[in-house]
Amino acid sequence: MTEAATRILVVDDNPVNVRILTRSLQKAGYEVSEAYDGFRAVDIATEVLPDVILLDIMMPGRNGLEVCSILKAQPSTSHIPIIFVTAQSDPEEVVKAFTAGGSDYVSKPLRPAEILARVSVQVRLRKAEQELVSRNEMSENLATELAKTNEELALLSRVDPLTKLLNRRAWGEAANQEYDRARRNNTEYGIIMMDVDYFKRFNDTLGHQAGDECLKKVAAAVTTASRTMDIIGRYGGEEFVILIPEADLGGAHIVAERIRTAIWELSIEHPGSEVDTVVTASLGVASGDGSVPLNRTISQADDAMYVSKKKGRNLVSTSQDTFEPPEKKCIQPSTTRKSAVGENSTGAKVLLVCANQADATRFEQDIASECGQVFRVSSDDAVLKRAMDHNPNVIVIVDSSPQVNSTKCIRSLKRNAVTNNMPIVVIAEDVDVDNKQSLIDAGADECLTQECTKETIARCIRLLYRVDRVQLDLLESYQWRGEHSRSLNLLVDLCDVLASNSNLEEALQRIAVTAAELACCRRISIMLPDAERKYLRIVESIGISDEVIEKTKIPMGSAVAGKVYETGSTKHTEPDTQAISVDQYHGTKVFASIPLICVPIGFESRIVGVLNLTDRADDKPFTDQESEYVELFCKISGSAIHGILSEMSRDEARDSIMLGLAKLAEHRDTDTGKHLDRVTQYCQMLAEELAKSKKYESQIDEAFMADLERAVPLHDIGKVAIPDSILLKPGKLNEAELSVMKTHAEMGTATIRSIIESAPGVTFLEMAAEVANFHHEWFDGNGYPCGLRGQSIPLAARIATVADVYDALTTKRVYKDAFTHERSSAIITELSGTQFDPDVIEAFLGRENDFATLAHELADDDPCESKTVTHGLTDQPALIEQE
Amino acid sequence: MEAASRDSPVAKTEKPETMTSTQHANVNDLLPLDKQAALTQLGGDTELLSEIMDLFLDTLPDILGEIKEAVTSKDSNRLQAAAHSLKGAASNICAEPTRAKAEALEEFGKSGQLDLMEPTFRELEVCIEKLKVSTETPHKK
Repeated sequence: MTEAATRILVVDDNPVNVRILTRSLQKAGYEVSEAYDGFRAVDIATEVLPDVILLDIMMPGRNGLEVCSILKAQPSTSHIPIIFVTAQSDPEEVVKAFTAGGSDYVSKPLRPAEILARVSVQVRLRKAEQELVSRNEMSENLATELAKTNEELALLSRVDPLTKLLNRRAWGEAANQEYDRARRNNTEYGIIMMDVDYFKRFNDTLGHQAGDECLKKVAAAVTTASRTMDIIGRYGGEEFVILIPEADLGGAHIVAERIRTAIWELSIEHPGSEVDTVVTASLGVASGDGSVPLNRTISQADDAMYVSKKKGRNLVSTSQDTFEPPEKKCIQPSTTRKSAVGENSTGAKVLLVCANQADATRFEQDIASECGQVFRVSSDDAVLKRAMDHNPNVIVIVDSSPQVNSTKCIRSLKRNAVTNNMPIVVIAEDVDVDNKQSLIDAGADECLTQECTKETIARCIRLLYRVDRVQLDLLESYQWRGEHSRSLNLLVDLCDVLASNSNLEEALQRIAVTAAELACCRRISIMLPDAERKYLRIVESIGISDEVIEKTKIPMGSAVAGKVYETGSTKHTEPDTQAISVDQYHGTKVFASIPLICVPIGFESRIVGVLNLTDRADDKPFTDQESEYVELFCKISGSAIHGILSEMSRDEARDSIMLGLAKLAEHRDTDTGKHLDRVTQYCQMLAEELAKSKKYESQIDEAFMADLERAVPLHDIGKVAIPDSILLKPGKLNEAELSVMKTHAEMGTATIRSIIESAPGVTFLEMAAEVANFHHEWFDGNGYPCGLRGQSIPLAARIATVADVYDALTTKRVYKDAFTHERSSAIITELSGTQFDPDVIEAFLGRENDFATLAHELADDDPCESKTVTHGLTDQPALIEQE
Repeated sequence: MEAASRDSPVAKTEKPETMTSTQHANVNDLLPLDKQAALTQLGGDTELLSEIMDLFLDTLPDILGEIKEAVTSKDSNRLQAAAHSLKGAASNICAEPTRAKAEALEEFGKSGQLDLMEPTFRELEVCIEKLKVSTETPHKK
């Protein structure tokens, strides 16, 4: 905007004055409005909103002072600067003018040059003011914008970007709130865990993009099928979790079933699925209330989901289904049938269905001489149950009394998945052709008459037993093949996950879950050696109580796990044998009564831990095939864990090398001085204390404390670059030396920055760089190297500077003696607000006693030996003043 | 303060008298209109000067009439306002004698010294006559 567009209002009752003012202003390029009395002045000012008003004080009617008061009271005109025109420079009049809100005054006679100068000043001020207002508005807008972005960011970090559902962490938070509510209100809630079936194959066959699209649709279907109050989260990969508030198991089951159907009905083609041609999901449901930890209910739902997986997928199971035999139901009994008999036919198990006592005795004898075991039932109602319990190789039905209806028996046996393959012989009083055919149609394998000889019955049973054997072998081979491919899939998945994972906890969790699935076990534990490598401890488990985890401590070389770890070879334990010895060490009977397999994790030369598997469905022993898979699996896991552990130890090694470097910087001698230990602990105290206040509680979390602990020791690392002649100089440093000394802050930062470049993402190093750079900044801006002020100095540096100075005061230095705690505390407190952040000083005062105690406990061994301390704080007035 | 001034006529008259008397001495020696000074004051803008001179003369009868009426009716407020206006206008054209009389009248209006109004007004009329004469001469030139 040019001055030409600047409008001035001239108010005077005398036309001569108005003329002079108007003309001079117009000549200078201003636009001028004129008013000849106070009333018009207010009207025009309100209408044209001039940039400056030249206002005569003495006017008939409404005088200038009144006009000024009115304009200042109106929001639209209150900011317009007013220059009063006075006939005399009576001081009283001038004071009145300023009091009324005038910005300046000119006195008559009117001198155009003076007037223009004064107007121009006001115009400039006015423009600057407008600029400021618009800048403020702009920065207010920016702040609003920023807040919005932050909100979105927060939302983003809570929301899974792909599915727009809550991510695992956010879901956990929301679920915990709901759990607290359930506990308060004494209500139940349901948890649904859901996993998309064969999703890895979906990705493999159709590509990851299709996979992403699929997950989006699935997430949308889940959302639609759930109620609005339900809390839905993406638990990981293709796993989803839903919390159903105020619902029992039945209610949650209904929602789960609706979700399963909704996903199925999406009809997303899935060529790799073995369940269906479209995408399906397996779901597990559990319910809980305030009396059970949320985690347990989640893991029950998770277990239930695995039951759905095992039962054949595209299913909903509840936590009550967990303990039913899993999917291999129809196959497992057959295996038992097979193992119960030897190679010769006399080992056959036979179920005899006979109501007539005399007949029963006769046939029992006939069969017993030929076969292994005989079980008997006397009514057709009990047939099915007994058949399922005993897994007979052959069922013999004697149809000689009204209590037994052979056709009814056969039908019920054929309709059941467990019993439908069992061979059936019917022995009837008279068997004609029609009769026989109808029984065979119903499912009988052979019909004999009561008159038949003992040999006929025996031969028949032997034959049918062979049929059963062939059938079982066939089934077993199918089963083996199925298991084989399932196991391989699991292993491939695991390798995939482990290869991309560097988090020990997650890797262990994944290993445990895969092991559970691989071996169909409900109780899994992974044991790793403790820090001293004296005991094996459980680091990850499924189905084991916290108490047991806490208690379990297996000495190396003892018990099953200890021996496995040492020898590197797998051990199977059978119930009530070695398990008892486990018991002695555990003080618990966890593994005492059921088969257990304990497998070393890793290769012979490099065993990292052991894996315990137990509590199988039906307590079935582990087969060789299964052992082999589990061992292979443990080898894969072993190298993954080894990789992660060595990465961790590399990190630790790097940390300790850096700490050593820091000590070297401090002392030029790695084995002396406790300065860094003290300062680090002081910092922890200050941070703990600050974290108690509302202002800092969100900033100082566990991660901050951990980073601080590792960052603080590096604060003076830049001293490595300071020559000994300065660093260890006894007495005061001169100006030149001091300025070299001061470079240590930037040197340190540069050093740490260079480490960060080679190890990006190590959060404590970022903090260390800040502390190194800014621990000589002052709260009032008078520090170095940047002269930062107040909150713009990073919190960690504000904390570290107090701790560092306190330690310098309370210990002997080359340039000073040790001060008492009281004297040091007084000096530090004095500098609150100038050198130090008053909040940190408050925290210091809150922990003063702890500081004094620590200073005493961790005092340098020989406080007279001043070689352990160097320059670096000689610029502190706190120290210099006291010299 | 106020009470003291009312009781002591000496005190009341002292201030305006000293003012007028000292200025009288000067005023009588001064030109009724210092055109050069006025021109300097206006930054050498002769056009503006002649313009405001005309404006001044045009408005003069009204202002004088107003002052006269105020004096006649002894309306001190009205006198103060009208004299103030004249004072300002006169100062702009450097008509010092007129300005001084107007200022004196304004003071009398302010302090309510009615007895001094009339003689001062007459003196003002004289000043203005002189002023008119001095303006006419150059104009006729």
